Amino acid sequence: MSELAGLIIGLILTLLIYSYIWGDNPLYRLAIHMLVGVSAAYAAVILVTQIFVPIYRELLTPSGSDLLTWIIPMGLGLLLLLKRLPRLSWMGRGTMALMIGVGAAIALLGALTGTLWPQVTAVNSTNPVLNLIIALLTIATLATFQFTGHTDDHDEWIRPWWQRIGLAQIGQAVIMITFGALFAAVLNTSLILLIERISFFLTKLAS
Amino acid sequence: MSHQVPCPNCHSLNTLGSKFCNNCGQRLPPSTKILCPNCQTPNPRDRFYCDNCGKRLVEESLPKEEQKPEKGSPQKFFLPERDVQDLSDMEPGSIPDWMKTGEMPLSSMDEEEGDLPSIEELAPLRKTTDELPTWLVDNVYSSAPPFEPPKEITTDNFLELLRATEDEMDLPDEMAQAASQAELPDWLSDIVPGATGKLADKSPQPAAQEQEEDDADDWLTQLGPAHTDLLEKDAQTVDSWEVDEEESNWLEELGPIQTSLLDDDDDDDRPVSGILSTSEFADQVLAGDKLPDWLQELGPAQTGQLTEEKPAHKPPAADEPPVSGIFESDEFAAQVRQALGTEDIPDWLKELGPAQTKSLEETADSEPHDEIREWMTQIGPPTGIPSVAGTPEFDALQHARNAATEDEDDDIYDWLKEPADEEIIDKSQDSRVNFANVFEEPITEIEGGGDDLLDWLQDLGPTETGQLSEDDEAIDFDLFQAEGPADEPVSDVSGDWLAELDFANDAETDDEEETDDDLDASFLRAASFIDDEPISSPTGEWLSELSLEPDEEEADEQADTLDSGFFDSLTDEDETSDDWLSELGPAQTTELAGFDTADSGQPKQTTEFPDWLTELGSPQTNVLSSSSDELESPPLGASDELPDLFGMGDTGDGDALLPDWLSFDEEEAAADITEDIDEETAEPIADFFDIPPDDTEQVAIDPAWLEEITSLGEDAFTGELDAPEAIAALDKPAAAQQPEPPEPVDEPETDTPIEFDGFFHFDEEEEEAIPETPEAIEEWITGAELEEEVPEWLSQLGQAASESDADIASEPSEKEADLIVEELPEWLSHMRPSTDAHASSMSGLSGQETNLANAFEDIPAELIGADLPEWLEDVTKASFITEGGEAGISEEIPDIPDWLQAGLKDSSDLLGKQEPEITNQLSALLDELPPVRDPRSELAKADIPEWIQALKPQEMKPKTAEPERPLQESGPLSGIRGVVEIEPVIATPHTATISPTPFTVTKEQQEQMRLLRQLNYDTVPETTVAGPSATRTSAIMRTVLALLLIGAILAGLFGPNLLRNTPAPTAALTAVHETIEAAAGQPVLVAFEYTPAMAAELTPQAELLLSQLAANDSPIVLVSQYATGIAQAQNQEQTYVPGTPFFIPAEAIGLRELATCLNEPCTAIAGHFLETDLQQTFNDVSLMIVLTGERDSLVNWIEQVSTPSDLPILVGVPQSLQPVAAPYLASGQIQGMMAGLPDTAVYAQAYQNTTDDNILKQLNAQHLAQIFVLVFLIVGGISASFNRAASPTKAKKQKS
Repeated sequence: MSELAGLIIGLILTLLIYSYIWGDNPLYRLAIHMLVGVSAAYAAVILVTQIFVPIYRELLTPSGSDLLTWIIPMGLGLLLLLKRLPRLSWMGRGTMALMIGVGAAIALLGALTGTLWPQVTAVNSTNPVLNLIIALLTIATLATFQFTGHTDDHDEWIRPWWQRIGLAQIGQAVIMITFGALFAAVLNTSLILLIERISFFLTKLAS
Repeated sequence: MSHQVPCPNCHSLNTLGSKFCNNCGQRLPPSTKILCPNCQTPNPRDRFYCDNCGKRLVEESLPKEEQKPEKGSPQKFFLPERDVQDLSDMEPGSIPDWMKTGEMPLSSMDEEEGDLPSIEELAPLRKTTDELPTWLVDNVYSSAPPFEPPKEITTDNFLELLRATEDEMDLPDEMAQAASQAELPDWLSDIVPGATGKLADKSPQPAAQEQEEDDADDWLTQLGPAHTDLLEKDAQTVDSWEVDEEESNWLEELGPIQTSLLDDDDDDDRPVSGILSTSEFADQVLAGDKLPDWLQELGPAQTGQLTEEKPAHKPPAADEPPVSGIFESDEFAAQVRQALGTEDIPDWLKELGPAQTKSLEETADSEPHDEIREWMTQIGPPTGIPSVAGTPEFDALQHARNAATEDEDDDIYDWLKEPADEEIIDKSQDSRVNFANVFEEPITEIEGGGDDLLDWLQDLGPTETGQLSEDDEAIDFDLFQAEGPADEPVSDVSGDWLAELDFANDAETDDEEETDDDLDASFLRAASFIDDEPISSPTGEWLSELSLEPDEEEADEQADTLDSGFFDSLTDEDETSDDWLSELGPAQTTELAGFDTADSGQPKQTTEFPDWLTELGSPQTNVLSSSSDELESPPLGASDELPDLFGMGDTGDGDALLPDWLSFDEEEAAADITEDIDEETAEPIADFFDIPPDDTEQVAIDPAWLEEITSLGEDAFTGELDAPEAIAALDKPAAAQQPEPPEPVDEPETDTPIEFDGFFHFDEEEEEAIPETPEAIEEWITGAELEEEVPEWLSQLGQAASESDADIASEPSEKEADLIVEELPEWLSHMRPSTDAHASSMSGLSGQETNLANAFEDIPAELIGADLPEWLEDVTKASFITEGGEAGISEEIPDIPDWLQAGLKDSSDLLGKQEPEITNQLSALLDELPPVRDPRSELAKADIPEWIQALKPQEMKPKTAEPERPLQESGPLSGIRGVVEIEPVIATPHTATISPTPFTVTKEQQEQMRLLRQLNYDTVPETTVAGPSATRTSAIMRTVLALLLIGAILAGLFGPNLLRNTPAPTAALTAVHETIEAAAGQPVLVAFEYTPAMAAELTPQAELLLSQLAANDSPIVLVSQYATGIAQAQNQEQTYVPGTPFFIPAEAIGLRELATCLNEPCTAIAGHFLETDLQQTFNDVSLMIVLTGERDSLVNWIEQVSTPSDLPILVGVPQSLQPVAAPYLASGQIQGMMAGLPDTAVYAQAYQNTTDDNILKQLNAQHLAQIFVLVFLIVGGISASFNRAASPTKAKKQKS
């Protein structure tokens, strides 16, 4: 029964979501709100069970870490909570700064060491033409987003040279193709999701 | 949402604080909250600080309620206060009343409360205006003028005004120039030195004249008193008379001709000859600074005589034209006063008649006769003029002169004797004093030829002026020579004085190059009676003979009345300079006759003088004296009867130096002497003829001729100078051209009528036998021809304002005009003002009611009355003399400046005392004068510069009726008039009015607003303006498409399998399999990094991989950074993975920590304290499988975990994420990748030897759906292109 009820509720919610085809309607909004709410609630539960409870348990355990070890992180965490208070939000600026700083550093490091360098070094030397094309397309894509120019004596803005020679336009084309491929992939995924759902319901209902 | 305000009309949301709706423009109600400028937090209006951030919301601290004034308390001046951010309309209650109505209680202007300072406080600012003249400073609080305009324009008032404004304001030169350049009547302009008159250029050179002051004889000084000490009193006042010559010229010219000065009924102590007797004027004039040209030319500069004892007066500047002698000699002035009586005799007459023949004698001997003024030369006939000997007038003068010679001193009538007899008559004689030579040069210099003399001088001189100019002969002074004793009537010596005047014959004939000054000087010297040195020249003796023997008392009194300044101004300090009057007066006719020029230095004797000259006699005539009986008979016999023209009175010396006609009644003169006479210094003149010639201190008073003139009464000076018959008779170039004789003057009992007829009359035809006896002379003088023989100049003097009848003005004007044009020398004609001229310039003088105030309207007050000589004052007063002989000067004389009225009063007083007959005579003489022309009819009004007019005080400006502006009663400007009222727009609060027309919104505006809202706001408006058909069509289309798609899916699920064969696994799938197989038996970290949305594709992959790992007996460690991933993980845990998955927060940071634990043993991971087994497990992990549907998670795991740990990583991604993972797969960072449902199916079929039908069916359905979508996209594209092609046409049609 529980499975059936779950199945039915699921089906209903799915239909509510699919009602968006007709337009924005309250049923769709209901389903959306329920999804967001359940997701937020579940996340909170996980956070509590996965973070706070173990810490609490650790602090309670005599063999665990000392409280003093956790004062600084807990203090920083509490200060972070003060961001919600307008008058005391300034106190959480340190924690925020620490978090943002550390995160930016790790992200930068990872981007450099995990993406940029390996990608650059992983260029296939066996096919230099392809590599060259790839390089050019990459440069063109980057040039598309550069609008640095200058003004002449007549106060007219003159585009940069890479835009004047068509490099920016090539980059735009590359970007357009890339976005097309990505869109196709997203479309396939969406179709898969639709198929899976339909199959699920059909299977479960049939069973 | 809380910072937005819904519109009451269209219900659209607007920003808090907006006043108008952004959608429909509807006015929004005032916001009940105030946005914090810092944090934009809405706060209630009653807050001062933001509730959120604490920022101040309201700058001003005073609430609106506090600004309302309390009842009963004085309303303070305040401005409405409001918040800075408050942009709404002001509340009516907060607007102060004064802003509404413009009125405010006076109590609101309480200074204690720090309000605006009152105007009184600003008064100190007026100190800055100290530099401005008073009359320019606007006194707000005082409606009174900065200076009170004088009620009477008198000389004294003018002087006071000058003193008052001397420091404050310096008259710009332009004003002076403007005043000087004012267009004056011709007769004034000619006279005024420096003016545009004809004689303006004829003024002698100042430098030369100064040099010749010692030698020049001032005829006026000779006429004047012999005692210069009489002028001491007024010397200072005269010195203060700083009048520019140019400014006073026009006034000066008026002076001596206005015989109305003689008429004086007022009790004013000022001498009748106010103009001449004014101390200030006299001083300046006498000093030689301000003498008009006509006076300069008339008499020699006897400055030395008068300035000897009057050092106070200012000598004329070197460049200034010297005045005639009378004005140059203080001594002379004093003497004149004493001799003639200052109060009774107008100054002009004083100037005319010698006061001391003694001085004439004295000066004649010692000084050259080069001091003869030009005018004397002009007066006298040129060389060649036939002798007037034999004429009745001359005979009379001769007789008088002879009579004068019988005196002990034998000098009284000298002036009538020898020169006329011996020398003058002989025209061809060069040695004799050529009377004409005296005037020779001036005559020639006169514009229009030297043919014309001034009328008044013509009257004095020969009537045949043509002879004067044409013949250029010396005057036959035989006519003037009086043979009678000194005590004979003046008529006997009436002509002697002129004979004495002909001293120029001595030198002029020899040296015609002499300057006019020399001539004048010589002439005046001959006639001087105030010189200390005796006038040896017979030309001077006649004047002395003419002079009476005034009593000392009378002389003192009269001398005192004379403004010493009148004579003090004479700068001729040469004691030896002869007073022509003195030469004329005393019986030292030898002086006259032998009056020499400057070169000769010796006066020449003139033996004969016309009777009229003898009749003129002593200048000590009590013309203006009250009673001619008081006058003692001069040797000429006419001194008692002659009006004391000069009012000199009795000098006390007893030497009558003046001819009788110039003499005056001593008693009367003494009675009229004011207290001004210093009795200590002023010596009474007992008798004009008794004064020795060398006695310069003695001023012959009571010249008979003056007395006679005085006795003429008012009528004598009703506008025309009623010259004695002798003079009048001489003024007959032709009988027909003579003006009408004045009214007959009642002959006083003892006064000898003055007959000026024939004074300058050289008409042989009309020569009459000079009476020898005083009685004869008297008769001769007072003959029937008196009226018509009255010289014009005398008649003009008597022509007063009371004579308002135009007949007199008109008739004589014609005659005078004729005389002027044809007969009289031009210089004389110009000098003699007509009645009209007098009337024009001096209102009241000609009897015409003119408004002096208007005349001086454009002239600043400071200049009004400037430089008005004393004699003008007399003239002014004389103008009001009525015909009845009584002084008609009244206090109510309209439009006459005070400075003139004062003189008028003096003259009226003096004239009032004259004998009726004299007055009549004078009036008769004056009648003959040409009428006064109104120069206003001829002259254009002076062009007063605008800047001068602008400086005119408000009091002088015509008051224009201005509407009185209302007085501000309240407000900050209370008490001020002329405040611009506050505009109702400002005062009245603005009241919002509802627009009569409702605000309407068209469909297009609604559509535009909808689009704008969509762009500005994230949320789609609930109400759409778009039509329902379009919306329904799109919904149907979408539904159909959805159903078609679902059908295709169903068809694929339940339909046949389109994929007959499963494709071969890719390399990536192979690598996955191989990697998993390689990590068999080793812990594998599996990360569920996806949400339930991606579960359709990733869950099958997870099951395959976990099944394979389980088959390989690899420990599985489940981790996740997503909360839902934990749930997914737990679903799989139950099946495949025992244990609890770990939650790793902080994304990249957590993964970095995880990577550390993978490399090194760690006790806790992200707060998870790991057990020992787990710690070992994490340390032994050999493979990581990441199942993620997000790119960031994929990248983080690759960057943060795979690269630092250098562990192989396999990824399971949806088909959409395959392009993102492919580079990493190509770079080797990812060892294997399973992408989407197809790879799952292939992997299952290839490596699991399991075929999930469900997966195949889904894969089949996927293929069909993809086909359907492809077809739909193609069809849709084609239809859209067709529609787009068709829509531009529609758009153009809609736009058109």
